Amino acid sequence: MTSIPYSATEPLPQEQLYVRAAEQFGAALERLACGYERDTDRRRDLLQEIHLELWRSLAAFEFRASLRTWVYRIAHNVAAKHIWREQRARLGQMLDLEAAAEAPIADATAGLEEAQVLQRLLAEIHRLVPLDRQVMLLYLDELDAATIGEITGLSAGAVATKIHRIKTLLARRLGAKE
Amino acid sequence: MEQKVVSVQELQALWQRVPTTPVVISPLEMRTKIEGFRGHIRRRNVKELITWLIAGVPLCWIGSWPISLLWHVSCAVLLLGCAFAAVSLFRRSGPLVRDAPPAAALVQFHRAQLEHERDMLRGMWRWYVLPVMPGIALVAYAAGRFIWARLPHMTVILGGCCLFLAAALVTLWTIVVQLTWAARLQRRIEDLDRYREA
Repeated sequence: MTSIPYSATEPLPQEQLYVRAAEQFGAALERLACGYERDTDRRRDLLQEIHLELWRSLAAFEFRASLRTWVYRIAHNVAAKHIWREQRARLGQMLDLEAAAEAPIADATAGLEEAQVLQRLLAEIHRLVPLDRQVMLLYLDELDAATIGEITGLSAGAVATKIHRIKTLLARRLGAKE
Repeated sequence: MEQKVVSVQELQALWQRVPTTPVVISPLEMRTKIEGFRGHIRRRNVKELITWLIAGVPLCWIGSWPISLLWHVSCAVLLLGCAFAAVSLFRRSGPLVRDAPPAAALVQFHRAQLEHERDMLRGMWRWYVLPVMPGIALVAYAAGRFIWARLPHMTVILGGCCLFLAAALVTLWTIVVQLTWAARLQRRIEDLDRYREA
């Protein structure tokens, strides 16, 4: 990649890219941070860390991958490192999609208000092991299977299996019909 | 907020409606933050250096006691071993992930994290435990010779045996724990490879 000298009057392409990425995916990044961190202050810290790493990484962005794939990869990797660092002791208590779907249900979701369903959904997300959580968050962001595969590095078959398990989990735990 | 959620699509739509306040940090602010981050790393390095000096100074002082030439040499060897271990630890405990670029696919990133930690645990005894062993052995020998001339021999032998046994057990336990963790991480890497293709 050709390095472009910095000038105070002319912003770097890195900066333009960052502004574009932040405008396009800012809300998605905030949802992603919600999926990784319950605590509000730590969530703000995580979000800042994601933006910082995104800004730094965009210096190496070469348009081989789409900006969306790049942003999601950076954000999830930073968030996974956050879990790795902050919640190492709790990793053993996290479940994969299958185990999470099989876990006993406290009460039915029928008749719950949106806010309550959202709380329940977040609780389900926070119980998942990092990789399953990443697939779940990408699925909830309405990304198609091919994009999820590109971001995660999973095979098409593995993504299809994961999506099937996510639907099962959502159906069993939140009463969502496919 | 009265609407009830009934389908997966609605759950997706609900997720999209999570209240957010999009963040855009200005380039100037970003540079300031990055400078702050670099400053934090510099401060961490200085703190580690000071900690090492604090730990090294008493050893230098103990090594200067006029016991014997062997005592001075032993303490110097131990000091060198500690310095080597400290430098190795400093070099290896940098960023958690070295191999995976920040925009690596998520599975590749996880794998690199696990591999890095596994390799660190597998090799730790070589660069963290082994370098200080010659120094400890020499110091123990020099101290033993010094005490031998001043205390009843049986007390020295028993004390020395107990110390040696305790040190050997601690070292072995440390190595076993590290290798067990490394094996556990290796199993997680294999699980991850299966996960990728499942």
